[in-house]
Amino acid sequence: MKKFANIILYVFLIIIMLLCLIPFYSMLISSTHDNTSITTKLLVLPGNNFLDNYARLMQTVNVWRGFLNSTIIAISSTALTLYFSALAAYGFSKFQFYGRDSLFAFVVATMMIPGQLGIIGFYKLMNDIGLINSYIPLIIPSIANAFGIFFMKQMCDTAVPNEIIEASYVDGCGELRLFNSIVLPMLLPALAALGILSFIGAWNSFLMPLIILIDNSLQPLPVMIASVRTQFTADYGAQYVGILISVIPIIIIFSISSRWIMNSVSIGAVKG
Amino acid sequence: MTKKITLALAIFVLIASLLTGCKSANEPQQSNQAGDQTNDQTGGSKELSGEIVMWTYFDQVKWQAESFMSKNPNIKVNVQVFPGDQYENKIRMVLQSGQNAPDVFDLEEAYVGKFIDNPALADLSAMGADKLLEDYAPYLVALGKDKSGKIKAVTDNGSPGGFWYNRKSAKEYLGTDDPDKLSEMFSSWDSIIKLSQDVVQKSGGKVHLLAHFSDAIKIEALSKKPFIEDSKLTIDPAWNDVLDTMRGIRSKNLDAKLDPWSPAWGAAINDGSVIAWAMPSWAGFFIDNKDGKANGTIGIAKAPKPYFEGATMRAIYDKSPNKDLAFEFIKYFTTDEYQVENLKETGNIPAKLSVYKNNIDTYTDPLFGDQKILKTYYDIISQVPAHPVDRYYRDSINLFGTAASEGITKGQTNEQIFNAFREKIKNAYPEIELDK
Amino acid sequence: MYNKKRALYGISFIAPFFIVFAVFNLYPILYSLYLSFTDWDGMNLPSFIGLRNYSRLITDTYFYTSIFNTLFIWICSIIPQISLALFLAIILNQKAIKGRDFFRALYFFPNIVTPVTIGVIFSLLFDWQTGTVNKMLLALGIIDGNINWMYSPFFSRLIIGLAICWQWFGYNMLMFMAGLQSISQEIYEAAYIDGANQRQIAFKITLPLIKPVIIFVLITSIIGGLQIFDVPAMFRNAPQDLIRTMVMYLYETGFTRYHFGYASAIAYAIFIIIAVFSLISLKITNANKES
Repeated sequence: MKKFANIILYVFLIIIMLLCLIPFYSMLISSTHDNTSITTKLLVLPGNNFLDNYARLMQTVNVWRGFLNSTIIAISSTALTLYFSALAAYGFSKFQFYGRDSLFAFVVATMMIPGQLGIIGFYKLMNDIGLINSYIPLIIPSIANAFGIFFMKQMCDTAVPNEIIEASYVDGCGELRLFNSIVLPMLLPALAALGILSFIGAWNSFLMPLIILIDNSLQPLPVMIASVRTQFTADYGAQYVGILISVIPIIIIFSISSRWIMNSVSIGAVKG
Repeated sequence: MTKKITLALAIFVLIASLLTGCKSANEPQQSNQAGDQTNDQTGGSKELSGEIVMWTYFDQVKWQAESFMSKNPNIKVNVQVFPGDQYENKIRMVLQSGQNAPDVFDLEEAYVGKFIDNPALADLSAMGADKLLEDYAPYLVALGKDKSGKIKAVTDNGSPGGFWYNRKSAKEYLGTDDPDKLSEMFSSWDSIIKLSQDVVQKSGGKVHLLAHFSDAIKIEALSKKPFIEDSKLTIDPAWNDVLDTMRGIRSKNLDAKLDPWSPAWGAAINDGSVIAWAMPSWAGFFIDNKDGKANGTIGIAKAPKPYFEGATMRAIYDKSPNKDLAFEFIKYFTTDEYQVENLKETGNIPAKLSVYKNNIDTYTDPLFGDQKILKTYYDIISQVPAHPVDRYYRDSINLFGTAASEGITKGQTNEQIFNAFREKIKNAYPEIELDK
Repeated sequence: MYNKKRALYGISFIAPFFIVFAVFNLYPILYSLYLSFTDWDGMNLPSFIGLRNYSRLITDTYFYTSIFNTLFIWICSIIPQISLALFLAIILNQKAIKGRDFFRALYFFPNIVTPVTIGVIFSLLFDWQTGTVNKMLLALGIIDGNINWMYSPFFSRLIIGLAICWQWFGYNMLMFMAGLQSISQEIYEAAYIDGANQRQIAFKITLPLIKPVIIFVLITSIIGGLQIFDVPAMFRNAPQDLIRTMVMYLYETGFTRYHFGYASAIAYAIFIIIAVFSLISLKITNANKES
């Protein structure tokens, strides 16, 4: 009886697993067929049209370039988020100054503001000061990451003992150097978790780059995938290759570091 | 001594004749290009040199710029292609802010009306554009005129639309693949519906005459009263017939139910399971013609009404410091010489009637076998009704098209479709007074 | 002196946040508020029109439809998402299950795929004439003609909801597993000793204990779910009236119709709606806590 229940359990787990995998499989197989087959047949086995589809895609949209752009944007904004969140969290956690708690409450409250509230004004402002078509509006705002500060402050409160700071202070360490050389290393595990979270967020961002960037060659991956969708309306072969390219590197990275990524996500959730 | 003098004389004569030969070969060409009216500009064009920036959504413009630069080596054209649906917004914002604005830019016919009255578009009439367009099909000239009648944008190709048909299936199910006979058979919707029924019956439902009923909207729209005039919405009652026709097609399962521009639609073109599609002349890239396998398999017949779809309109930024160069660039695309080259190299159908007339009996495109397609297209292009452009014209047709296609697919009545359309207009243009 | 200097350092450490927030968030938000009282098409200068955008919004059926669509899609995604995530979390939390890490990683994987890609994949899968789903159902003999999923008011939204569920159930499963692991083993052992069976343990012990996590997941999913944009925006093959979410309507109004003033008003309306929903859910949670 127990055995039977166990079999049902595994069957269920495997069905869910298949549901997770079938869309990827269908995408992989479809990318290797020509448009006539994609539209008319149920495809189960790979075909030999991949290179043709790939060539047509690359003629108009350089998806690899999108990868590079996404990487540049995601890494720089993650770096800014990490450093400035930790710095501000440290400021809130270990310093006494007037209005500290209400300022921190303000930071937490800003987390409730939906991202697109100021989008039109943001767009107009960027247009007026000539920052349209540049990465600055996509990267610099990462300095003000309320979740990052909230998350890091909890870490700071527990993981950075006051005694160490006081000891270093007596040693004559400058405040900023103290932060850089002593506090920051102590926060490393938390920084890793926050880094994963904000990297995924920056990597997936779509609406902002969509409205801010003009040059196709500057666009990050999600915008490129969307433009493949609109430009190859009748060419599903090229579309499938495009989305395949957007997924393959993620599969590789994930299969190497899945445990680490998932732990970071869990930590972010529990503390967040 | 005499020998020497004769030699010297001979050399002199030779050189002189060479020089004059060159001159006489060059001169008419240049004045041709520049047009007679702007003579001092012609003088200037010899010295015109510099670089201009061109924005477009259309990859082939790179080729066009090469062609231009090979004739005008002193002008460098820096083409930037922005495919995708953000292009319109990019142009809009850049015209407003003036930062990094291009000297020349393309506007798709679908939205040229929203830009045409904008002061950021240079007045091309003042630069002599009217003269260049004298031999253009009238509707193409109208497409680039603002409300005061000044030319603001110029196209280099016509985009006549007709029924493209699969020759093999046409022969099998309609009994002929002759374009003239088919044009006759496709001349009314009643006849098309009857043919559709025959085809479905003969093929046991495997083959359809039309891919999608919505072909009727594109074909009929230009001959209807504009939806919005003087800020008021009116719906031409003649649309009722078009809706009834479309409903008749769909309710009897007479079309293949393939959404226009969808992949299945593209595939049906190739395999002949659909016989005819309403297609503009530039849609050849939709045919899978790898290694020429589709050559000779397609024909073009006239639709019930002459129509066109899409056109690349080229405009100049008014504050550009290089307006002269930019105009030179635009002028180049209005020449017979270029439009013939464009026709032969890329298959783009010309805008200038003289180009049709001069090539009508000689031009063929391998895709269409030995059909003299310019003949068919000339009949269409010279009859497409010219209509004034404004920000509403094309967009209101598109909104109606969406309401009609969705409504008929969902089984709505005409009145429900009109109401859905009114909602769409109200939403897109709240300033418009509705008819109900 | 010493403390004052330290205080200055503290302030300068938190200053970057406030400066950047003021420039890139606060100013645009206030500027949008101003724009919401204007008519601005992106080409000419904004012109002040008072409350006209808001009075238009109140009677705008498109906006109400977009609210309805958003909620519909959200419900279609949240119900299967949370139940599946919870169920899987409870199963995978049992040490006896072989390959736990493998399953856990696989279920989580869709979450790190770009939402745009997920939208494209699902819209292609469920395409009327060419989608794999129709072809599979045809091959299995379940249907005898292609189903036009995207034209069905129910299926089109359901499919988008399922796509979002597909993207997020693994993530929520991780949340629940983290919650489960914080429950001490002693409680379970005590229950076993008392002779409780699996089902009783699940419903009487596990569920009540991870209720805070469930509530957290629900609230974050309300805030995120009311802002969905990427996934439905990729469904170009559906009638837009059926799937247009609030943020899609905002984008469409601003960046394809160029009614920037009206779009700003929509942005504020969305903000108010999200605030109301968050407050309601907080109220419900607090009421639950007290009871």
